[in-house]
Amino acid sequence: MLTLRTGRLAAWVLGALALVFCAASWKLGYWIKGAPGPGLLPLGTSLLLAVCAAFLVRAPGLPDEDPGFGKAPLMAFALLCAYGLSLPWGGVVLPSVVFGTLWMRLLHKRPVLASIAVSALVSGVGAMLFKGMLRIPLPLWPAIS
Amino acid sequence: MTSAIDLLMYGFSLAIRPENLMYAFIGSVVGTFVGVLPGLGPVATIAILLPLTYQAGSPLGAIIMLSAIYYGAMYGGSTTSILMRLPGEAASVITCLDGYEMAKQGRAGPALAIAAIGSFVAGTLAIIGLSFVGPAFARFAVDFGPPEMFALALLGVALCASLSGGPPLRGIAMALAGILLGLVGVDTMTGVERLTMGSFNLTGGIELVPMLMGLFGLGEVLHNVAVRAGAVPLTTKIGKLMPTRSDWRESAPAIGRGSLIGFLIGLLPGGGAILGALISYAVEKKVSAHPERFGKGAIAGVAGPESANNAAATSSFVPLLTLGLPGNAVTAVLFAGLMIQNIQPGPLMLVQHADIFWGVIASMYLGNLMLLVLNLPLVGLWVQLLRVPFWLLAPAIVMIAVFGTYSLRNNWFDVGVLLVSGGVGYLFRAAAYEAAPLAMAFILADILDTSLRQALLMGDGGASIFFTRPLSGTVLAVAATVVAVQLYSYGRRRRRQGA
Amino acid sequence: MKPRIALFAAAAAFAAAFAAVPAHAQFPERPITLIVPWAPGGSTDVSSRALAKAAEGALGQPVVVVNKPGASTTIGMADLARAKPDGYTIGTLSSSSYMLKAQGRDLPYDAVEAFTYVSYYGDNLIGIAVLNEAPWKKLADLLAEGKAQPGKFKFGTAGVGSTQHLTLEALMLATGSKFVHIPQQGSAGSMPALLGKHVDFISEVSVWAPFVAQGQARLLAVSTPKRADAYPDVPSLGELGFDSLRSVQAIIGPAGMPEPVRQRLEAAFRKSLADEGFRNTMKKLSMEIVDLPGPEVKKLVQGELQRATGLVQRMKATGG
Repeated sequence: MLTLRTGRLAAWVLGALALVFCAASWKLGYWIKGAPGPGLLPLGTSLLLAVCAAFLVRAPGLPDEDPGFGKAPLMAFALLCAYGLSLPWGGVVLPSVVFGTLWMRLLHKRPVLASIAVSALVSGVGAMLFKGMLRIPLPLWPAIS
Repeated sequence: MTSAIDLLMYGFSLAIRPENLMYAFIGSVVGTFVGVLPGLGPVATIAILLPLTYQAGSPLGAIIMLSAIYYGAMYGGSTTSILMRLPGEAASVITCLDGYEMAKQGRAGPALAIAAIGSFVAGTLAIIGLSFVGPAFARFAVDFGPPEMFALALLGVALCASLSGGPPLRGIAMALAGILLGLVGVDTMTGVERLTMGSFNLTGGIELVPMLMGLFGLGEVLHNVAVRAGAVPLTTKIGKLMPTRSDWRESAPAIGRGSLIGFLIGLLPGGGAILGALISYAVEKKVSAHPERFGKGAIAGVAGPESANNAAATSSFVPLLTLGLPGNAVTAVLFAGLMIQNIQPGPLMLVQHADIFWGVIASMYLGNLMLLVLNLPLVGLWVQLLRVPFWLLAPAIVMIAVFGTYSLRNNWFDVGVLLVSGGVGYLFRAAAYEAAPLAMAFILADILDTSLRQALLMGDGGASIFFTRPLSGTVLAVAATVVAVQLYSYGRRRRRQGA
Repeated sequence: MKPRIALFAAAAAFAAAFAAVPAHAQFPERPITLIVPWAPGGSTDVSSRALAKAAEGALGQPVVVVNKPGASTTIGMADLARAKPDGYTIGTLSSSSYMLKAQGRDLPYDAVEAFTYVSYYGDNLIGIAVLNEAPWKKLADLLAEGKAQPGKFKFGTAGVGSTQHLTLEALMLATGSKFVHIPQQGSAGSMPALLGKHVDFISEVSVWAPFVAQGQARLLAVSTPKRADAYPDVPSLGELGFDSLRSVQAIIGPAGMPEPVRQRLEAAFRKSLADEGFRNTMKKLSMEIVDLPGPEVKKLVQGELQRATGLVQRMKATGG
């Protein structure tokens, strides 16, 4: 368990967003040739957000905050990322089966064969639903070129 | 008035023809289905089905079916919001707040039932409005210019902060972050790239639906992984299916108010259904005898917004059918559907195509009834989903969300948005930051920005235009009151705690 | 669930989802994808769907329309530019795609050279429309008013840098009149703005058509080089002596498409211009059907891009 104040981390994330967007909208220009520019609203908003974040970083935590991040959700998020990265070149079927199997195996300790079978069934039904019935041009298999 | 009733009767004589009844039924079923499926919303579905309607026998049948898909999706959209905190449709984000909490308490049945019944009542009331006062109200939509839209969007952002139960500052900060993220992409007014950090894929902006599904649905999945890293079902109990007497007492007035709010807001261009649901939620929280129960499973927090989004979906047909002005993406696709069927939507439609106009309206009465009959028995089926063990449900939710996201624009980048939003959603969930204000403000950002600059241009760079126009001035005054009341009551609560 | 049954069911599901492998034959031997870089429902979407349906007959294969909207067509255009130039992925070209180039935007593809030009199919009709109660009867009245009271009157278009907007900027440059541009969120926003009197006139594609037919709005001019068939009484900008830009609608593919494939597509799409359903749709959208061979389309696009770039430079020079 990684112990840290999750509430404070969220406040820092919001603050960082405010600072990055503040710089970017300053460059856009908030008033150009007597007319409001594209940076007007983002500049105002990000300044306000920066002020809010400054207060939130120092504010005391709430009782319903998680005390930190467990290993399980971090691993789950890593799986999500790997799944997302493999999709554009792997088609949807194979990455989905691998993703489902790893999820059930690593996070929930299901038997290997059952994990493969169930993931294959879920991705097969999903592919049929979207590609077969709804005619979405979903690439099923790896692109061979 | 009699003539309107005569015309409506004429519409019914068309709508009850077997083939038109069948089209309304197919549309209702398909609509419910795509509403339930995360990602794939009514816009994408109608666009996919549009070519099929070229061959449909009559233009009326085609339009009946396409409209039924739209209001059917509003029924289905709440299902996954309540069961899995996964908004099936953008307009049902608000339903996640109390609907999912109800499901966690074993009250998924009443939540789903009240959503269906509220949708039916609101849909029917809105169609009555559409039949009898629609044309008069269409002018109202046009009178809403940039200053008025800005004032309304600002009111929406002010209400966002009230969505979170915690300190208002957290809600305000999330709403501000939502505005910023909503502005990413090419600025439609000047064509300049904004806040894209040099990413070409971001020039089109962050797609709303993948972001919502990630923030709420996947964030919740990750949170559950953390809470119960075992094979425990999402909810352990299912409980009663139908609402109790006290549920009814709380929901009935909420449904009535939600219908009225949804009908009026739905007439306006832009985020009608979503803004209607947001305002309805805020109103219910304000008038409730137990505002502290909101966000913890208050049934009025499901009944009001669900009614409002259905009423808004119906009333968005008013500007389309009476003026030929599509106010949102769905009615824009329907506009194309009408054009392909050789019907020019516009001010002459009532005269030139009275059969279509009244036939579609009459079919909406029937379609809403079909949806109620279809959806109430489904409640029993949907709650069975809660029996699916988490080890199976979690990867299945992820896969279906991925497929659904790709189907929106046939674009892998959106799938990346979905997954990253999942991580961000988990962070905020763990830190007890409510994501709903961010989502709402994200949706309103575009209206806020465009109308602000349009209004400033109209007023030659001065801000006085916001206050000198009566409609805009009034709405701004309401927004200011909302903020003042919030800060005052929070301050009072804190002083009381401090004392 | 028993793993073996699940495996079997999964295999069956894959088999059902997997498309049949076609036999080897002459192009086209499988469905063709037509990328429309706009959301469904707009004039390009509706017209190209009608054209795709007509072309299916001539090609003997389905033409599947895929909408890839976003960022004023650049997202769909980038996908098209990256696609394999085998003729199975083609797309529609709208003037917006190269207008961005004229404004100096960095695009991830070459606005002209990244594509193979298949054929032309039409021009969007851009009209300058006012409410019927407005005092201006002729375009000259409006322009005179804009000169007498610069900055008093406002106009709406689909957005900054759209063909509709540049058309009006060209008029202001030529006559020295000055109007305030209130950009709308796409063409759909312009008509409500005019009806609600939030702007005084609009320069837009055919969104005004039903209101002109009903008598609520009046057309002062159309942008086509000659008068439009549907509005014989409305003068064209060309005949009034003004420069105008075309609102192009064409069929293109990725650069490097084999010439025989391109010719096959060109023949099919140009033949489809005579299709009854397509002609009907174009008429309802107030779009003019224009037939041009592929190489001519490229020349036309180059010329339009050059003129638009010049216009933008002059606009910047005068501080407009």
